[in-house]
Amino acid sequence: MPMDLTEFYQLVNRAVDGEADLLAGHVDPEYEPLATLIGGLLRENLAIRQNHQVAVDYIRDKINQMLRVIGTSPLKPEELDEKHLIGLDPLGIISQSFAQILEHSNQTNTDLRLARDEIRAIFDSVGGGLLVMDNDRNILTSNNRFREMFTSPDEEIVGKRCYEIICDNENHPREFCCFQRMMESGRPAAMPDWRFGDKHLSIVASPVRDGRGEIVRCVVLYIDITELIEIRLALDDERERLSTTLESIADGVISIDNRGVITLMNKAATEITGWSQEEAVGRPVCSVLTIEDQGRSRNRGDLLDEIIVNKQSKVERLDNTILVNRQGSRRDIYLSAAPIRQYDRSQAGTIFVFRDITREKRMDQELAKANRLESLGLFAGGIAHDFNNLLTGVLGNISLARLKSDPDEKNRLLNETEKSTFRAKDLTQQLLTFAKSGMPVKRPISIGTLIKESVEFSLRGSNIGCNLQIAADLLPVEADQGQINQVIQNLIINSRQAMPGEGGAIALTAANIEIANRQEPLLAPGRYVKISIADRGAGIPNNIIGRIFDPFFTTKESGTGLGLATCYSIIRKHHGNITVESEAGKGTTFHLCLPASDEMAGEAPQTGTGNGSGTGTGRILVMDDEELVRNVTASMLEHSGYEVDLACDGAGAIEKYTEARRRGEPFAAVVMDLTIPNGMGGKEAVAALLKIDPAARVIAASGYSNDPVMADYRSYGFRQVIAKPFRISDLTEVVAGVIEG
Amino acid sequence: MTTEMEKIIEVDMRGQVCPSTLLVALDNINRNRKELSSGMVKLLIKTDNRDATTTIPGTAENMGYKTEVVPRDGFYELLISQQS
Repeated sequence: MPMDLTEFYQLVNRAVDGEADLLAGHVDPEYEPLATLIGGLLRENLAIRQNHQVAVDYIRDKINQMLRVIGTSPLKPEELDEKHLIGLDPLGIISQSFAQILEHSNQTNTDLRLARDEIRAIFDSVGGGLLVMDNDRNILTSNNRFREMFTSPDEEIVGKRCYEIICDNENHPREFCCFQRMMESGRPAAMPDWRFGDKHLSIVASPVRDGRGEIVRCVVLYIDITELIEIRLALDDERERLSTTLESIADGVISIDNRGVITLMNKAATEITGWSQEEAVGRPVCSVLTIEDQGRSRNRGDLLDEIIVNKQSKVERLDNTILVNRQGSRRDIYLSAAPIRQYDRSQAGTIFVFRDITREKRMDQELAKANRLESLGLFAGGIAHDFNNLLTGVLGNISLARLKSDPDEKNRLLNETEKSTFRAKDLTQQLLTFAKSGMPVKRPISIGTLIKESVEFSLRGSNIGCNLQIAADLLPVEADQGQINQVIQNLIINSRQAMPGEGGAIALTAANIEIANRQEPLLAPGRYVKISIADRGAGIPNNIIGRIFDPFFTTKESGTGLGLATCYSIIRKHHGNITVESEAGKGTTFHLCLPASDEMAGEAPQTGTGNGSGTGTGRILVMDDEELVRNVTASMLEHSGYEVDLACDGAGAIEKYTEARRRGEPFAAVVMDLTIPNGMGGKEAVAALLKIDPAARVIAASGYSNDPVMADYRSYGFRQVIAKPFRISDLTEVVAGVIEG
Repeated sequence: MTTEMEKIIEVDMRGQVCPSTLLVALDNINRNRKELSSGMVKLLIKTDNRDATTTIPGTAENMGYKTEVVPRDGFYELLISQQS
């Protein structure tokens, strides 16, 4: 029976379900071609399905392989079926991830190569020799510096052991081996000073560990410290030399840091201060160097503070300093301080150097005392000699006068006596200019006239002339006429003596000058009269020109050495100046500057020569402690017609003055000595008298013509002054002047 | 430190196990590669699979990223960011 279409479909379906062979030989010939086609398709389909499974299995297998590489578990089929496996695309994901891993790995490799090159550069350029070994001392690599230090240029060292290159067993025992100690301790080991031939090396061996912490490599660094060691040895030598020097010098040396703390002290310093080095180092310098000002006896730690705090950039010297040592005794020291500089010029501290000059100072003082005594002897001898000569004149002439009966002859001899007395007066005047409190009795004087008279007097009887050039408008000067006269005379006499023999001429000029501010160090600005006296003598040698104004300095056999010293003293007390210039063989010029006066010059009081006329009237009280003076003064006044009463001190004078007033017989004038030893002198007495009688006419008399009271008598209440010694005419003139008002 | 410019992409993979957690994490890293590398984006992965706390950071580090693992209550937070 023929097969219908339904049966054929059923047969095809069974073939699709797995029985493909059913179609062959089981169908009607009518369906045979169709059955052959379907059978072929079914076989092809089966083959495709089998290939797909292989592919899926392959993919799953590769995915798992890659997952294992990443480090995770494989995909389980139940976790991800074929459909989701394809949908998730693990291969795509993993391959993209691998691309990133590869990229990262490439970057890491590049970085590593760079790092390796850097390390190599450092390895080769480092100042020390570097050696890399394995943990059995086999050399793996070394840098250039290592080969320079230890091998010949062509020597191959890789693979050798380190001790074959460097160590010898004799000089380098194993217990000092850095490698050995590093391996034993597991930590870097060092050798600070290791000798290799004549070189000194510093060695450090460091371990390199693997991932498990095992030491697999050793890096050894060799640094040549030969130069450093040599410098250190030289420094030690230098320090030793300095230390010996410091300890052996006689000056005390203390160094401090910037805080003022002592860092070093030498032996001499311990002897001077009384502090031991151990005790002093670390202490503030002020507690060890206790210094005081000479004479002031007060602590001058501030001087040290100033030096420390201000960091003095220069050397400071303190003379006249007293150091109080630890035991409290005082020593004269000379102290200097200087900054200690570092290489960059910054200050690291201060160094004090001091010397005990107590002994030298004492010797200086003794010497000065001896010099003073010697000078005084010289001076006193000179005075005594001069005075004796003058007294010989006085005594001789008086004794002669006694013998003569002829009044004219008697008068001539008394005149000679008077001359001697006046020379004695000049001598005492000269001596008084040296007195400490000596003040010139100044008034405005016409200096031109004084110069002319002085020059004429000084050159009398000599063959030396004088060219005077005195400005017509020469200003007056405020001066003590007697003293200035003395100066001019001294200088002219010096000039005259400088030109012995054939004569010649001294040139004297006098002119007004203006001194500007700071033009002359010793002169205040203002108007001056300048007097220059030039001779044409031999000049003053350079080596002594600085000493010619010193007292007692003389080049003349018979000189006292007081002439120029007196001139200097007088001119300085007049607020003027005296200078000298001299050229060997050409002569010497002295220049005097005296302050010009604004006041008109008065007439110089004429020295009286008269005998005093008996025209005086009135009562005069004479007060003097010296009987001789009281009596001669009284006699002079009585000779001139006055009535005289006497007192020997201020108290007596006041009593007599008061009593006379009470009696209605007041004194017309009082002559008072300024200085009364152990009693009231004129200065106090005049004040008391003026209280009793403000109209009292009191005259001061003094042998100290340079007493300040004499220079400024009016402000003390005196009407007039008279300098001892005086002649009868001097006295009566002053007394008459005061009484007449 | 998080700046205003940074963006955090959160991937919650709780409930998933290895290796799919790794694949999902890698997929997110791949897709945000440019932003992650430039530092503009950080990836915050939440997972309750303990294995993932080693596999994900290990792979991400090999790819050149920085990772941090922070244990939370019942899960882990893995923060993946640009290597500084």
